Amino acid sequence: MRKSRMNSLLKTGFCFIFLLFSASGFSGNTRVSFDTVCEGLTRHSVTIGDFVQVKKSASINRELRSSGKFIICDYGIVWDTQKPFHSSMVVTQTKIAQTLPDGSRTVIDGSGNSVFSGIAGTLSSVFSGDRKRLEQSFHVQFLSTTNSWKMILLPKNQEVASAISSITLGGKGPCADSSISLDSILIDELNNDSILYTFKNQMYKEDLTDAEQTFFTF
Amino acid sequence: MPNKLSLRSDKNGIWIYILFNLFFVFAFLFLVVRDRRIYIDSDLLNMVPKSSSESRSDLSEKELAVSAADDALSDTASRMVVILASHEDFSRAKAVAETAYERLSNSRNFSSLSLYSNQDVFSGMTEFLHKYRFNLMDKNLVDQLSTKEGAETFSTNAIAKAYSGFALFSMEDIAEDPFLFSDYNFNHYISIIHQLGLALSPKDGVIAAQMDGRWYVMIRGQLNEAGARLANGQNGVADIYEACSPLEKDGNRFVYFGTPFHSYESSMSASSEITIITVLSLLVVAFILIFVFRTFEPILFSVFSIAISVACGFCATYFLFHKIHVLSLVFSTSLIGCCIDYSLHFFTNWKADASVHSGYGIKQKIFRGLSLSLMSTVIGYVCLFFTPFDLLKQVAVFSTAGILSAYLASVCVYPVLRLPNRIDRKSCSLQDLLKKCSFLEKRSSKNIPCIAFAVVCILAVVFCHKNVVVKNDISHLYKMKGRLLDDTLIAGKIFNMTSSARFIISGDTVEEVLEKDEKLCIVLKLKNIDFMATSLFIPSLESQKDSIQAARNMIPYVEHQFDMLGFDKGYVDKYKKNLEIAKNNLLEIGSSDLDFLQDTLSSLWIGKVGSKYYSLVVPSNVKAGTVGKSVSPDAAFEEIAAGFDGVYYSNKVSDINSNLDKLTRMVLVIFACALIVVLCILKFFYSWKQVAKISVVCFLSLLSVVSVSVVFEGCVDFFAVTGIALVFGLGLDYVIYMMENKENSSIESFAVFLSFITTALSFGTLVFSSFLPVHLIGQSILTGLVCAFLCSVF
Repeated sequence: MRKSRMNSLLKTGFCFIFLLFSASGFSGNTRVSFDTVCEGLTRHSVTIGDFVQVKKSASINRELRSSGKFIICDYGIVWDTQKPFHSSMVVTQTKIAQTLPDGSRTVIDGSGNSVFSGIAGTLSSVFSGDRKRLEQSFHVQFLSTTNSWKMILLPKNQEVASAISSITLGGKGPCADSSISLDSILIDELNNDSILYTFKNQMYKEDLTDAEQTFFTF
Repeated sequence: MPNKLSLRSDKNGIWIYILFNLFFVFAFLFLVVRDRRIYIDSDLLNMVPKSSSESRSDLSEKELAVSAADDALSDTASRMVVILASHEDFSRAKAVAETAYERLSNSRNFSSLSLYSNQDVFSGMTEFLHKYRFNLMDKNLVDQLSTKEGAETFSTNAIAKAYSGFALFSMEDIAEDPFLFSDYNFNHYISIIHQLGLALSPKDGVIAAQMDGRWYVMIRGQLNEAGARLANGQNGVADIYEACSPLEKDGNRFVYFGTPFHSYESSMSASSEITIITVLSLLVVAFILIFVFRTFEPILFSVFSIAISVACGFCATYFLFHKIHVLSLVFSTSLIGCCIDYSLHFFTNWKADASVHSGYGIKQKIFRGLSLSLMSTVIGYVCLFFTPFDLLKQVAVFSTAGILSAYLASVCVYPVLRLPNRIDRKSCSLQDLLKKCSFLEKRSSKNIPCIAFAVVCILAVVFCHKNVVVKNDISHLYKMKGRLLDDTLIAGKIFNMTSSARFIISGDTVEEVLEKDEKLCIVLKLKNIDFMATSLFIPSLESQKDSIQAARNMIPYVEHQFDMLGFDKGYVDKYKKNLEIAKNNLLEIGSSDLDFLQDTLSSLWIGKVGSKYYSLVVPSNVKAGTVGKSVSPDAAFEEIAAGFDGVYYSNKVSDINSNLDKLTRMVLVIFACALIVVLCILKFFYSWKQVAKISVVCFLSLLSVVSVSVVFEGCVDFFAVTGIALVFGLGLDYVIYMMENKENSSIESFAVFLSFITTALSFGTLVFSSFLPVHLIGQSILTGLVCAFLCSVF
C-alpha cells in the first residue's frame, strides 16, 4: 500500500527530532530518565557525525543502503549522502532543499504553512528541551538500564499515524565520560516497510565551518 | 350635491380601484400558495448588474465566455461559507470546531458541511500520481528527456534520490517507477501549492492553519437554496451564528468568511432601515397632515391609500418577477412621498376650497393636473423597466403600480367623501396657513432665484469639469466594517486570495481548451506569475502522448537503473508493459481517478456551455508591478490574453464597473428619449412657451444633480443618473400643477409646497441609508426635487 507524500513530509519532520538526540553529555550511574536524555541531547549547538540508512520493503524483499554525514544545528539539518551516489538534503524552519549529482538544486519554500511550522516548532522545542511539546506529538514509552536507553514513540497525529506505526530510538549511556549517545532510529511504517538509521562518530561543537555554512545559503 | 350620473360614475370608480388592487393581491397570493414560499432576494451580487444581462445571441465571444464562467461559478461562490475556529492552542481550536460542526450538522440549511480532512484525498493523490506517472510530465522534463545527455542526467539523479536521506517515496513504487517520475510530478505540485501561499494544511484529521500565534481550524459549508434565503432569521448564516456565538469564550473566536455573511448582515441592516425609514417618514407625514388639516379624515385616508399602494406595488412586483429584492423594498419607502402628493392635492381643496360643492367638483378641478403628473411620473419609472437590470425593473414596477393605485384612490375614492361645510372651509385654520404662505404666490418676474441657482450649479460643474464623467466603482459601494472586516482580512491572509482576476479559455473541443490552457500556463510561468489551471492536473491528450514518449526515451536506461537499485532484469519488461498500458489509458476530464480533486477542478473547469467548452486559469496574489513595469495587472493580463485566440481575460470587479458605465449611459439616453416624449405629449396641452419653461425646469434639475455629484462624489455614477430619471417624473409634477391652477394659485401653490415637503422628506430619509447606492439615489433625488420645486414656484 502506497502512502501519501504529504505523510512522508511529516515523517521527514519527525526524523529531525530524533537526530537531535545525538547530542550527549550526561553523568551519573543511576538509570537515565527521559528528561535527562532531552537535556543531555540538546546541550551542544552543533552536532556532526556519520550515518548509515537502510530502507527495507517487506513486500518486495528489497533494501537500499546508503551512507554519509549529517549536521544538526540551530539553522536546521543537513543530510549529506555520499555513497553510493552523492546528494544532499537541507531542511530549515521554512525551506527544504535537495541537491542532486548534476548540481541541480530544488528548493521548496514552506514559510507560512502549518505543517512546516509545526515541524519547525517541534524541532525548536527539542532544542530547548521542551518535553511537553514532544509529548503533545507522541505517546512516549521510555525504557532504560544503567548504560543504555530506548524510546518508543507512537504518533498521536492522525496523518502521521496513518503512515508510521512507531519510531524507536536507541542509545547508550551514561558512558564512562558521562555522555549519552543516540545510536539508532528505526521507523516502522504501516505497510511493513522500515527505515533504519544508525549513527557513529558523533562530534559536538559550537560553530559551523564555512563549508558547512554554505549548505544553509539559499 | 352630485347628480345621479356622477354618483354612478364615482361608484364605478371605487370598483375600478378595488379591482385594480385586488388583481395584484390575488396574483401574488396565487404564486405564494403555488410555491408555498415568499422569496425575498437579498444577495449582494444581485445589487449590481451581472456581467452580461443580454440574451446570449447578442453577446460577443468574450461576453459569452464571461457569462459562462459567471453562470457556472456564481451560484457556488455565493453560497459557500467558511468558518475558522480559532484559539492559540490547536487542540482547543479543534475541540471548539468539532462542537460547532456537531451543532451545525443538525441544520437543514446546508447542502454540504465538512470539518474533517478527507484521507481519500491523500491516497487518491498518491494513486493518481503513480497511475499517471508516465502521462503527467511537464514540458521541461519532456524536453530534457528528449536528449541523450538529459536522459542520463535524469536517470542518475533518480538513483541519487532513491538513496538520499529523507527520500519522499515508497519502496514499492520503485519497482514500477525506477526513474521516480511520480516523485518528480509530486514535487511539481508541491511547488505550485507552496507558490500559491496556502497556509492551510491537514493536521490531526482536520484542515488547519497557524498564523500570528493562533490556530485556525476550518469548517467549510455550502448553503442550500433554503439556507441561502436571506432577510429571515432562519437561514444558514443565522444557524451558524446561533451555533458558534455561545462558544466564543475562554479565548475561542470564530472567523466567518463568505458572501452569505455579508448578504446576511446587509439584509438584516436593510430590514431595520426599512422599518426606521418607513416609520419616520410616516410619522413626519402624519404630523404635517395633522398640523395642516387639523382633522383625522385626510390622515386616515392618506395612510390607507399609501398602505394599499405599497401593498399593490409589492404584489405587482412579486407577480411579475416571482421574487423581490430587499433593496426594492427600501426604494418602496419613496412611494410614501409620491402617493401622498395626490392625497394632498385633493385634501387641500377638500379642506379649504369654498368654490367647490362636492368631491366630484374637486376631482374635475384637479383631474387634468393629476393625470399629466401621473403620466410624466409613470413614463419616468417605465423607462427604468427597459434597463437590463432586474433591481431597477423591480423598482419601476413597484413604483408604477403603487402610484397608479394612489392615483386611482385620489380620482375614484376620495370624490365620494362628504365635504366639510362651506363656512368651515372659508374659516378653517388652513386658510390662515395659506395666508402665511402667500410668499409662494409672489413669484419674481425676473426669475432671480432660478438664475442664481443655475449660476451656482454651472460654476460647480465648471470648477469640477474633470469630474463630469460617467464612472462607477462597485468597490466603493459596499464598505465592510467591524467584525466582518476583521474576519475578511484574517481569511484573506489564510487563503491568500487578493484578486478576482481570471483567464477564460474557450474552444470547440475539450482537447482544444486544454491545449490553449497549457500554452497560456507556459506564458504565465515565463512571467513568474503563480496560477491554478485545469491543465496542471489534466494535460491535453497531445501533451500526455509527448510525456509517454519521453518515458519511452528512458527504455535504454531501464536495465541499468534497476540494476543500480538492486532489482533484477525481470522488472525491465514490466516497465515496457506499463508504458504500453499508459499509452492506451490517457487521462480524460470526468475520469473517476480525479474524484479526489473534484473541489479544485470544479472551480477551474467549466465544461460545455452552449456549443463551446470553457475552463479558467486563475492567477494568484497578483500585485501592481508584478506583471509589467508600469502597467496595471489588468492591462498586462489583457495583453497576454490578446496573444491567444479564444482566451479572454476578465476581472469581475472591472467587468461590473464597465457594465455599470454602459448601463449609466444607456439610462441617460433612455431618459433623454423619455423626456422628449413627455414634452411632445405636454405640447398637446400647453403652449410652446410653457413647454419651454418645463424643459428649463428639467434641465436645471439635471444640472443640479450633476453638480452635486461631481462636487461630492467626484463623478457621475449609475445611481446618481437613476436619481435624475426619477426627478424627471417627480419634479415635472410641480411645474404641471402650477400651470394647471393659475387661477386658484394660493391653494395649489400650498398643495405643491406640501407635496414637495413630504416627497423631499421621504427621499431625504434615503440619504441616511447605510447602503451607498440608496444614499446616492436619495441624494440625487433630493437635490433634483429642491431644484424643480424652486424653479416651479419661483
